[in-house]
Amino acid sequence: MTVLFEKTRWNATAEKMKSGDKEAAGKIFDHFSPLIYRYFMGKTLNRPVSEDLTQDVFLKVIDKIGTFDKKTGNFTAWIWKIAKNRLIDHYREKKSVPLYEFMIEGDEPSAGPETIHKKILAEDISRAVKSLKPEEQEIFSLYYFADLPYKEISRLTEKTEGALRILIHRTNNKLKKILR
Amino acid sequence: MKNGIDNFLYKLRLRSVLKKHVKIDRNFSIRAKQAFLDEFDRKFAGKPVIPYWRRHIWRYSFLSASAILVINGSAIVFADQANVKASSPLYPFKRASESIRLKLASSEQKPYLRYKFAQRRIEEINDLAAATDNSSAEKIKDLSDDFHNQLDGVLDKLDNGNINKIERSKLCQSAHDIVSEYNQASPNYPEDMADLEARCKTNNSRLKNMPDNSKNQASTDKKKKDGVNMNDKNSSYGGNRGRD
Repeated sequence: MTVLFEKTRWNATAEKMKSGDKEAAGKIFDHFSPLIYRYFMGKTLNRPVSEDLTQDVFLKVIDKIGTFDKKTGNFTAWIWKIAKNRLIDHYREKKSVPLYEFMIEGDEPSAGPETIHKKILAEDISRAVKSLKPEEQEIFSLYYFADLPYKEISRLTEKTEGALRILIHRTNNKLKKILR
Repeated sequence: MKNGIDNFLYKLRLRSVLKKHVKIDRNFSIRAKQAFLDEFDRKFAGKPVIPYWRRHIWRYSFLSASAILVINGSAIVFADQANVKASSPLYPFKRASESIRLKLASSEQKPYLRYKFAQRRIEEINDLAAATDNSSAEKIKDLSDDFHNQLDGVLDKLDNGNINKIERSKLCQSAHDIVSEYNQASPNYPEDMADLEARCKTNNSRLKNMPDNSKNQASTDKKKKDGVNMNDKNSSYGGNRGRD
């Protein structure tokens, strides 16, 4: 029900954006940019790269919004397809080595023990994500970083929801061992 | 069971840790949004913004019209079937239904329908007279006017001459009965009984010079079979007061 409501809501917002509604465009950016950024972070583990890719995705959205038709698909799937394709392009043209740099609030040189603890945790997560197979990393990013429901991931990855649940379960077990 | 709960909690914990530590930089977010909106302005510069609702106005109009049609249609059917009282808010729908039925009825059926509607008016006048409402008097006047109209419609059949003797006498008798009943129910706006009798007499004398129309006789017989005889208290047209 929630998925259906979300789908209708974002389809309508996208239609508004398509007709030149700036406020609708702003809403789309506010909702999707953190999710897409986290997805890229989960995949690249590199903050500057994730930021560049996120920005590219939204420029592409403006460029392609005219081709979006809510009758043939839903906007959430459409924008995630753009994000996925952008990531594929990035891997094709990849020159830089990932920096494993996670964004940590208050990450200044003079930070206290709490920040150090956070940094250790962030490094653990980077290590854990890096240890996953590309396929697992993809699902993991979409599920945990981008916060997408199984249904949406299933549409993007063309895997059944059952297969996705098994994969997430297997990934969890792997991560538990690493993060313990 | 325990494993399931553990897994669920683990997922929640992991998700919250990741969300907390993989946050989008606020400065980047502001910059990127500005760049996005600037690009948006460039692309849509000079293009008039057509609101979403205006692009779909025909769809909304069609849906609204359909909804109104369905609601009104249902109200009309319900008001007619339930034979709602004159004081009901659905009463205008009942009158609308009667108008539609009269428009759609054949010329042969019309007098029977009018007879039925005249009977309804008497019922409604009786109901209103029983109620001690200040607005009743005006409504009774309106109902009486409609009764006269319906009766005129019934008696028009007498005037057109194309009616056989048996049917004419039945029609006169039915009209006589209903007018008596009406005059009791609404003494303030009486129907002229003398005029009715005169019309019946005049036409009866005209009838003597006319050959009996066998086609009309057949039609009358058919109506009798179908239960549309006005004198038949169980028929669907006449004498069914209190049944609608």
